[in-house]
Amino acid sequence: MSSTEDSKTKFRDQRRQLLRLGAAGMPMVLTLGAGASGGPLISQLQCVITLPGSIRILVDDDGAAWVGNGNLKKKKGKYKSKDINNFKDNADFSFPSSSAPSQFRPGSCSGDGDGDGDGDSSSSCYELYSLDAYQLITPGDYVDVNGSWNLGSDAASLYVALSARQADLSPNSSWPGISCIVSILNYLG
Amino acid sequence: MAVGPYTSQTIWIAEADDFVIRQFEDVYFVFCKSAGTTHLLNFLTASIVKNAVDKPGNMKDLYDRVLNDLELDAEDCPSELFESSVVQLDEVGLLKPKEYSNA
Repeated sequence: MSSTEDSKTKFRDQRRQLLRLGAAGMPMVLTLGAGASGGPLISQLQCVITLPGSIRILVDDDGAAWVGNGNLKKKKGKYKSKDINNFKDNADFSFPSSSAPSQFRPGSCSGDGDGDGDGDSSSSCYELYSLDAYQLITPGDYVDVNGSWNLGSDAASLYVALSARQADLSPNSSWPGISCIVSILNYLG
Repeated sequence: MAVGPYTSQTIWIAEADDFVIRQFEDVYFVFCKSAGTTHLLNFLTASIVKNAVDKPGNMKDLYDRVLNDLELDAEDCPSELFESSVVQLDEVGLLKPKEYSNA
């Protein structure tokens, strides 16, 4: 097969791939300058945060949060205090109480002493959320038509909530996506 | 959902005077003068618009011509995908249903 035929075949394969995405629901038309509803696009709300690496967010029952990429595994519905402390010590960012909205906090909270004989106490007073590397988050998607935040209870929503908190606490921090969230907060006033 | 009702016999038209089209490799930028909007089309939706500009036709007619132009078969581009693409073009105003038939 000649190189011209090769490139033609490759080109057609790329097109077929795009059609498969279309059949799976990907839009075949994108509109710039106005939404499908005819309303104007607000450029400040269009910024996208790309996570530079996988991120884990640990939230306690007071809404304090720690953001890092440490390993943390639940055992019988609880985390070991040793692991919790390790995660907190190695966190890249930490947030004071009341930073994480109530829907992200653990539903129930109890602690054990060293009942299982493994030399460590454990606690259920934490909830862990994970976000994948390179995940795209568009904070503007969580702003409703009235300019109010409309967050779900998923990890991306938590990231947006903490981003807004970080912008309040330290608008010049190295928090991934800080400039995006600052521009949205400035727009919302 | 299309802007208006349509049937298999609906004739779809595209008004070339209302567009400015620029191609960048396999992506097409279409500026719609009346609405002041810019649309990004891929090779499929661009071909649908071009065919509807050249010769308006019903869904089946356009489907056959576009597949022929793009050297694709129905397995590559199922009729459902084609119809949904036509509807998307209708929704953004690049295609319009011209007339209806009860036939």
